[in-house]
Amino acid sequence: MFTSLSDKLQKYLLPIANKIGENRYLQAVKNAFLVSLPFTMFGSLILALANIPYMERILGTDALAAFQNAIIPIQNVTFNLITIMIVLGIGYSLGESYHLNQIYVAICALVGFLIVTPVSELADGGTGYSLNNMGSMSIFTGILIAILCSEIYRIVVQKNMIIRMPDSVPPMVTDSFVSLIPIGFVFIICFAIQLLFAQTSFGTMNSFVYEMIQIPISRLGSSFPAFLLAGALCNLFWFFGLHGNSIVYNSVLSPIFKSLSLENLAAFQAGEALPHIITEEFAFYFGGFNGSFIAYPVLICIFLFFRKKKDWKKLGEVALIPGIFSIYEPIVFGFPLMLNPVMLIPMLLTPMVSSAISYVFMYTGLCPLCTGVSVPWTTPMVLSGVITTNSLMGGIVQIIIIAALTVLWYIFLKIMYKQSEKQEEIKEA
Amino acid sequence: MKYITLLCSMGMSTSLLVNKMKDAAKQSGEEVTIKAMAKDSFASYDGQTDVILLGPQIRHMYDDLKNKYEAQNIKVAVIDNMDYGMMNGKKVLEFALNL
Repeated sequence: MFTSLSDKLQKYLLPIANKIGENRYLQAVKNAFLVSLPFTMFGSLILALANIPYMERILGTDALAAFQNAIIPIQNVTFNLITIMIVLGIGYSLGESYHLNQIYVAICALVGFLIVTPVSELADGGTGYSLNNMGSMSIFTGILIAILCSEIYRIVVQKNMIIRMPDSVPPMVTDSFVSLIPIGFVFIICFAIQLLFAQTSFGTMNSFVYEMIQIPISRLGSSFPAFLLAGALCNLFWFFGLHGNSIVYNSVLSPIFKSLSLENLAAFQAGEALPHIITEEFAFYFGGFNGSFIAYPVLICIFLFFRKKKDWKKLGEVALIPGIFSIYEPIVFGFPLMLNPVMLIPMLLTPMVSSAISYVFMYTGLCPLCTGVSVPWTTPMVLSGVITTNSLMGGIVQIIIIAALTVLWYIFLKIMYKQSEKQEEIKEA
Repeated sequence: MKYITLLCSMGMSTSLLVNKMKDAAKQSGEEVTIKAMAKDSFASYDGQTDVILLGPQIRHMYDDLKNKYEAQNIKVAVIDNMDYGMMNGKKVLEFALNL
């Protein structure tokens, strides 16, 4: 019965995974966030360095304040310009997937974004864009505009509305003429959008999208029930041996959680109270969207309680080092967790247990919230908890989570152990 | 010389297997070049490959890749779950060479 059910589920999940994996726009958004990752990570690590607890006692208050001021430019060009990186990344990636000239599509997307974004008068009489409109508040506007501009560019090129050059003209020159008409269309349509929103009470597309789309989606996405559902869904994909994080998280959820992280980061930088419990780092290092939450408890169980079972121990040796760094494919496919009915329950419960424990600790203030500082996803547990919350409590909460999950996994591994013992007895008899 | 490329989501877990496969190749004296790559980087990869092996976690991409690359005489296959999980470099290498 289980096999037929899992066959059926697999029949539905594979095409979904394929659709999401192959969706051009989701792919482009995912690639764009990957491009921005090293920049925001660098910026956030510098910020973490400037805010190490008790640093003022070592450096003195003045020196620390001077250092914190000195790094503000780094914050400005990393997470306060993230929308620029996202827009360029989406344009570049869509340009690549449509086989267009990537750099022109990317710059078109950027220009389109800058057209709809308001400019303000500066004190010295000049005009400037506010950094507020280049950071987390404009991420959704940036995504929409970048996709729109890339599509306009593609449609115009595919309709062949381009200026042709004789073959003897060098390619660089041809490319810049080819892009002329598509760019013109991008300008006209973005100006129209800008004029249209200027007529509304929102004034700009940025504030319309922020209030009407970004905030509602973020609220919904970061609500606790939705978060639990997403975690369970992610591991359901893994149960069928499909890369749940890449399917559920990277392409669909990352814009939502990343923008929440950046809002926390801005508050952290300003020394204000952090607004969100659920952020990208919460998801990765507390909420269970990370192979460690399964690798650590399973490996602990194998090495502490099931050493006698030879095949498990052998798998444990293969899986240990990757497991410490959050790579848990050996456990999924080798143990295997995949399509192993007994293992489905703890797999689905793992993100629920870990996010419930963390949520309680953070909601009650026993553990500080994630500051938005990010680390590479392969960072071992405890270390990731300490850095992302800027507090030892983050590491302690992770240890509590791992202890609770070890109990959970022990119960189900014991069931599996007994089953396999019985099978071996039958074989021997 | 045979060129084998392993693809997974980020190129992380396949790179572990690649090391094991290289060890196995050294022992049996096979002339192979083995690489691991993130699935998204492969589209723009212009190096040589004779075989594409997919990590089982991205097997939903098998049909698309097969349609795209078999015409170019590149073999596409999904690595067996168990061999992948146990990081059995020797078996995966044999599998790739016998495709």
